[in-house]
Amino acid sequence: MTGAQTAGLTGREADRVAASAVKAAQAEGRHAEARDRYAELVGRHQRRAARIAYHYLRQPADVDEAVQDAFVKAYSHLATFREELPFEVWFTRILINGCLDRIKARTRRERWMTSMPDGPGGERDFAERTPGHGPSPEDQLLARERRQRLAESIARLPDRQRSVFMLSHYEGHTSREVSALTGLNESTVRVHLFRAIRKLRVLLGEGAVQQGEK
Amino acid sequence: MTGHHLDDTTFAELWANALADNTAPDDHAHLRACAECRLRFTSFSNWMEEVRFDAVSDADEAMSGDRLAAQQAQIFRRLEALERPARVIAFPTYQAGMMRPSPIRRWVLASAAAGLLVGVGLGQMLDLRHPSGAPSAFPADRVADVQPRPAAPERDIVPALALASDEATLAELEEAATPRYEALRAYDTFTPRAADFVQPR
Repeated sequence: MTGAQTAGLTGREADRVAASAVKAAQAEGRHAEARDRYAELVGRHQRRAARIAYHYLRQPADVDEAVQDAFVKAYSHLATFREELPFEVWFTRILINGCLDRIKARTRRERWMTSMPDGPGGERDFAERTPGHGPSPEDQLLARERRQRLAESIARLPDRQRSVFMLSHYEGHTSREVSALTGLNESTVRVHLFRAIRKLRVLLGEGAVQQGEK
Repeated sequence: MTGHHLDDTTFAELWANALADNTAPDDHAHLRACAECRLRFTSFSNWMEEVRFDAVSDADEAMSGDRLAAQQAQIFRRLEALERPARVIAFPTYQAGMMRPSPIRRWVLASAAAGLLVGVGLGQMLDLRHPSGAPSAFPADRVADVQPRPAAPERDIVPALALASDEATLAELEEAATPRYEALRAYDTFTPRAADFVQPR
């Protein structure tokens, strides 16, 4: 079944078909075909993977590496993928483990090395400084500050609460899916999710109150 | 729940359950009955949606479409590299040639070394500087005939000024040195002459 033929299937079913095709092609040494079929999977999951990695790592260069590593690792170990699990769950678990490893490595590095100061305004690159037709500079500044506060508050959540909150709220996974992704049981996922929302509400309290009064 | 109304903790619980089950968060008996709580819950829900929107748009802004395209290209470059067998870099052949000389070259080098050794050995044995009993190109009787060259008689060193006293010579010299151009004669007149400094005997 080619990519065009899988177009009518649901995302998970299409993933399963593509993953099976990649495994078969790999086993028979048809590497070019395996890569072509794997491109479908990459295309479907790359954006989501980049978002998840960004929520963890916050540095685009680190996100690039983490996402690349996860896709390469998934391709290399596709033979161990059990098709009764959704590919998305299996892959996301690889990605999250990679992100957590990177955070640990970064923490170790930062313990010994001083970081370079950010550029003026903390912008990411030149493209962000060029004038455009989007929101006004004030709106951009306010939005950036709000996002910065949100990122700081998310970063202050314990690892498990953060993972559960991001996967549930940002990515729309159910507690069963989050349970499969994180290895926590469903009731623990619910407890972490509740605590994460409550804590974020407190951490972002002032902003929340202001928004509520509008 | 505080008094008869729902508080933020209850709202958080409602949202957590709704997210966990992928259902609508406002499905609660009290919310259906209480307009005030429904209003506050709407505010809470807006805040939750805003958190989600901010987080997702922040990530999408940081990870632009171009960046994702470059990322995808890099993923497939790495996958291709995985399948390519490891490249073996051949050791340069010219170096191998340099390390193993040709037979002729080897013979020439060995002959030169042997010649050097034989020459040094013979030189040590014969001691050519002090011949003893060996036939020599200079027989002893002829060597004895050779008389030492008599030492050269000490000459009187004649000072240059004494030579200059020879008037004739000086005159000749001056004649030769006299400029032939009229324009230079005036300078010549002012130029002191060696004869002027010769003390009369």
